[in-house]
Amino acid sequence: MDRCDLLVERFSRALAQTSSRRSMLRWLGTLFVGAAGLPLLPVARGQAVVKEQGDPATCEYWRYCAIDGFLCACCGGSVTTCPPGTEPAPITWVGTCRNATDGKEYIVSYNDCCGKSSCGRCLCNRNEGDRPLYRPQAANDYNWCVGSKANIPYHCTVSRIVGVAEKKA
Amino acid sequence: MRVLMVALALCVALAARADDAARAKQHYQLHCMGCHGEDGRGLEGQVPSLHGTLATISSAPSGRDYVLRVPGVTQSLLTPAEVAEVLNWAILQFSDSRAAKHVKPFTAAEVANARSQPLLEISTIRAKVLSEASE
Repeated sequence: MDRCDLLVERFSRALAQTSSRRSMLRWLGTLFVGAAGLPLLPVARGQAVVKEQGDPATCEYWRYCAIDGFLCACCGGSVTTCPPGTEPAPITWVGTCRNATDGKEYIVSYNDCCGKSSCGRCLCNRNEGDRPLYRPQAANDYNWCVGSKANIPYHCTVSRIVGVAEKKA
Repeated sequence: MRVLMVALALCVALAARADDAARAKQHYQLHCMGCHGEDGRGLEGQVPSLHGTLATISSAPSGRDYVLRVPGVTQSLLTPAEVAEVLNWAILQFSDSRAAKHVKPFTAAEVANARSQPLLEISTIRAKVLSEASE
């Protein structure tokens, strides 16, 4: 313990001899100004609230620009949640949609909800950005429930925003 | 004044790196996330996780060749430079920093050369290169 005290004392004395209060103030000032400027750096802020308009129970709702399936919002779920008794497929179809309210392009993940037979309500087939089946990564005609643990039956589709696209991709 | 110039240069460099990372992340979200998942953990038994294994496989020549010939790369709509960028981003994102340090960054030329020869027996070759890279 004595050795520890001695070390701390020596360090404190050395620090006091080599630095002034003014330099400490300058250092602290730089730190505070730097910290205040951090939020200005160009980093992703995906948690921001999205300002939007429209009815999620209609095909015209902006998030459905690349959808092909039944809307979960009409089937006992919502635009982002699967109806009771179904679960989202982990493999999804991803596209970008323009939100007319704020003019931004958003990256939207279309997750099929699986485990019950087809909902049959609000069938939408907008297909913006859809590619033929021989481009599997960019085709939305697949039944993504094939990869689901909830078994293969497809029920409906939810549209989840995963980020803001910097440009139309 | 000199300190200000250095700080400004540092800010510009940081902003450029942030732009590159944001572009790579966007490409991951649009072209890879559908199967590998937002967190890169894939789907057990069907889609490989990128955590740990991507860096391990990419540290050996045979593994690098494998990574550049899987369906997600050979059928991708991205350019070779964009594929290289998103792979390098994914290695940093889904691996611990010590493993990522051992991986030489992928280049556009490397991607263009390898991805013109798609793999057929993917699972067998993956098991082989993973075993070789782990030795």
